Order: sequence, then structure tokens, then C-alpha cells
Amino acid sequence: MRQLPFQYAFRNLGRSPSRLAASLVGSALVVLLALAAGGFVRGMQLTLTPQAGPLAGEYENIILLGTGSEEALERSQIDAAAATIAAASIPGIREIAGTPFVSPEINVALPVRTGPQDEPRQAVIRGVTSTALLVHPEVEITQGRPPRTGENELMAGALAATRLGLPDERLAVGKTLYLDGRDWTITGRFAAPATVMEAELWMPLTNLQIATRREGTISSVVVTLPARDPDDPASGGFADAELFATSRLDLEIAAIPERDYYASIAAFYQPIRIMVIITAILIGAGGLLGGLNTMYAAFAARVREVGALQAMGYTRAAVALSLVEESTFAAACGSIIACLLGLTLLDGLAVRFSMGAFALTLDAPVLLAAIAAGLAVGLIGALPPAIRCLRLPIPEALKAH
Amino acid sequence: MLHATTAARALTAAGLTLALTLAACSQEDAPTADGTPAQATTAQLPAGVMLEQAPANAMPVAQVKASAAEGDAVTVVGRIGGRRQPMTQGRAAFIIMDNNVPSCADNPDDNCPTPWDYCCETPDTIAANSASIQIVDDQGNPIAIDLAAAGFSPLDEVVVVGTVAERPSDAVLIIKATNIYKRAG
Repeated sequence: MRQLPFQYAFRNLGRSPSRLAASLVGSALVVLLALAAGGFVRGMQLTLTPQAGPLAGEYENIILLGTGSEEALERSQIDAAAATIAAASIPGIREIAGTPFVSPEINVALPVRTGPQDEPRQAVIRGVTSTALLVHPEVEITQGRPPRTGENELMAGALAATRLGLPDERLAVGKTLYLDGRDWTITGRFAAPATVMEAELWMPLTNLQIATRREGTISSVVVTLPARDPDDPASGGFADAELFATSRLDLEIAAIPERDYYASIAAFYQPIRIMVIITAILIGAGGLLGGLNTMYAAFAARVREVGALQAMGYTRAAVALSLVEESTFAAACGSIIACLLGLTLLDGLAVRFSMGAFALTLDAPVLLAAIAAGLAVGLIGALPPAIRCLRLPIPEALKAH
Repeated sequence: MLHATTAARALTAAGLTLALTLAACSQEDAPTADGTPAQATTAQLPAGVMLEQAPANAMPVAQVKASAAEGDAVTVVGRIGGRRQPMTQGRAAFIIMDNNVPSCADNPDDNCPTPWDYCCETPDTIAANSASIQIVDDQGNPIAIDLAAAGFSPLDEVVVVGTVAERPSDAVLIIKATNIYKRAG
């Protein structure tokens, strides 16, 4: 088959600047939509799925929480002594310099204000001890210092401002938040990328126990144990943690791997992710159909040209290929423009949800899927109009207006 | 020009097809009713642990819990249950409930997906009528097998022969079991 040179398709793009602009904008919008939807889904998925750290496969966190609260840590209440008892009873807990990786924690949602008379905003607050930084190695203090026990101090995560609906600078080190009838000074900021902790406020466990009037109880104990082989339930430390939980019925605790806990929450949000994807696809399909209409009009105006090419000896397939090249090239350019815009405007954009906040994540899979969507728009958008345009017999095509 | 009705039909069909596809994709790794992944492997308790006949003079859980002291030799009868996950994964250990306490499954009007958690009872009732059973080896350590793979299920009635372990409080009753009998049905 004798093919039309690629330059033919490339030069035809400039014949109608307005039509080229329409194609670029159309495909760019479809790709931007795909990036936004993909970034949303990916960001939520990464936040709710504990990512493999440098010790993945060697250690894992096990959460000891109240029975019946396996789906919501905020509802869990266990005896504060459970942390000490667990540390003494569960074999194989990871430790460094004699410090076991056992972190008693309180997870609670409380209203905070920027001032005594301001509107309350719901914050997710975690009461911790110093061992929390051992158990959660993904948490990194980026500014200031941890809050001190006995002082009205707290530390804010990088997305805590988004969670509260405040500008980020409002939670700068040195600023205050109003909680439990008094001002609390922000002494530090921390980052915990792709985790729900990044949207939290952290304060000393004792301070939060006093603020919430629960001196004798905590929400959970997080322990770091040898990781379990997924194919061998008897391996790893989880079996020992669960054995401890089922032996000490007086503590009324259950053991769940941290990964499984967040997986169950991620499953809860699965319908939302599906709806976002379906919405993006339907809107994208609408954009595609709009592009189809544009292409129909564009090719209808070139029927005589197409007839002339056939009269010169080019087959219908060769002409169709050239038309598709033209459309796909314009769509590819639109895709690149959209990717640049998306990476600049959307990547890292914080989104608030009930668990806290997460950032839109435009990583390689998302970019690839969006570009593929853009190219598909160019390909599918050109084929039906091209086929329709080529249906006419050559004499009729040459006489068309 | 593409007809508006045709476009609407195409969009609807595409959306439904995608919804079905994505919903099907999200069904992978679906857990079983008690929240644990389905186990494909099998396991067996060591020879001699499983009894062919029910031991005589088995006592209810509540009675043993109220009176037994550390070191007592006991024979206890009860049903596996007491929480959503009554059997320990990877260890021959479970919680049993006194037979006199009805489970949610005993109520024909109850459609609870995990009736063995006895959620129809108060926490105090569950605490007074439950015990922890650990099937141990010669060293006194729980045998490292998964009882679900060995054929045990929540609400199975079992009779356990063993020794009472340390009791840090009256609410804790741990029985180190050397033998176990599972009633059929």
C-alpha cells in the first residue's frame, strides 16, 4: 500500500488554526479530566494503603484495639495498661537500645478553633508518646520540635491545614489553635507522605488523655513485630499478638495488622473511587463525542481533497491512515499540554475527606493512563468521520462542495 | 452529525459496562464472612490430641471460670465463639463460650453475619462465660497450626481437657489443653 507521507498530515494541521485549537483544547480537556480523576483515585489509594518502607517484608505493625472497633480506631477504648502488658507478653517485639517498638495511642476527632470565638473545625488528633516515631518511621519532623508533655503544645501534619480548611501558614510553627478551653502552641510540623497521619495533629498522650477526660484508657497500642508470610499464617509475629489478645480476655482487645486495618477502610471508599472513575469516563466520552462532531465537520469540508488523493492512486486505507495520523498527532500535542498543566496545577493538591486529607498523586501510571486516553480520543475521534468521508465514490467526491 | 439519542445510548451503555467491569475487578480477594481470607491449605493436630469420644464429667465454662485456680486439671465443654474472630490465625488457640449462653444463631430472627460473636449478649455476660483455650505441645507452647485449616469452625461444640494457666485476674481463664473432642454437626 502506498502511504501518504507523514508531512502531509502534519502540514494539514495548520490549514485551519481554529480547528487545530479546538482539537488541542478538546483532547487537553479530556486528558486533564483523566489526570484529575486518576490523581484522586491514586492519591486516596496510596493514603489508605500502607506503603512498603525500607523494612517491608521484615517487620509489620500490628494494632491492638478494642473488640468490636476493628473498623474505626476512633471508637476503640482499651485499658491504658494494655501497652505495658503487651510489651511484656508478646515475644519478638522489635526493639532498639532496649526500647520496644510499642506505641500507646489515642485517636480522636475533636473540634478546634483558631480563636475562642471562631467557628469550630473538626480535627483528627493523635495522642502519642516518643515511641510513635519509632513505630511510624514514615513520619518525619520537618520543622520545629515535638510537643512536650505537660505543656499546651502540639505538632501539625503537612495536610492538617487542608483537613481544617485553613491556609497552610495558619498552622506555622509558633501559631496557636484553641482546644479544650485554652490555646495550644504549634511547636512543629511533620510530613508522612501517603498516610492518613499527614492530616493529623499530634500531641503528647498524657495531654490528650487529660483533654478528653480519659486518663485510664487509650484507643490502641501499635506494636512492631516480624512480618508474616502471606502464605503461612503461623509465621511472623501477628499470630503471637493475636494469641495475646485472645488470652487476655480481661483487656477486651483484638489484634489486626495495620495494613489490613487500612485496607478495610480503603474498601469502604471503593464505591467513591469507582464513581469518580465512571464520572470521568462519562465526561470523557462526552468530550470524545464532541471531538467526533468536530472531526465530522472538518473532514466533510475535505471530501474533494480526499477524492483527489484517491484519484491520484492512494487507497482508501492510506488516506484514512493519514487522517488518523493528523488527528492523533493533534491529540498527542493536547495530551502533552494537559500533562504539563496537570503536573503544575493538580499534582500534590490536597483534598479533604472524612479520614483526614490526601494529595492528588499524578505518578507514572496515572500519566500513562491519561496520555492513553488522549491518544484514544485522537484515534477514535478520527476513524468514524474518516470512514464516512471515504465512502463516497471518487467521481462524487470530486464534485462535492 | 451524531444523533443526540444515539449519543445518550452510547454513553449509558459505556457507563454500565464500565461499572460492571470495575465492580467485578473490585471483588478480588473478597474476605469470608468472619473477615479472614479464605484458607486453601489444610492442617492436622498432632496424633493423640483429637479424642474419639467425649470425655466424661465435662464442666461448663462459667463454672470453671468461677472456681478454678492455676494448675487445676479441668475438662471444659463449650462452643467456639465470643468475638468476631474467635480462632487465632496460625496458632491452635481459640475462645469458647458457655453452652448456656445462646449465640445469635440460636435466634431464628437474627440475620447477623457473624453469629459466633455473641453480640446479642452484654459484654459482662460474655466475660463471665468465656475462656481461652490453647492446644499446647510437650513444652506447653501453643501448637503452630491454623485450626480453621484443621477443620474447626466458629460455633463448633468442643470438650477440652487441660490445665488452668496463670490467672492474672478473675476475668482471665486460659486453659492449656492437651486433648480436644469436637462434636459432630
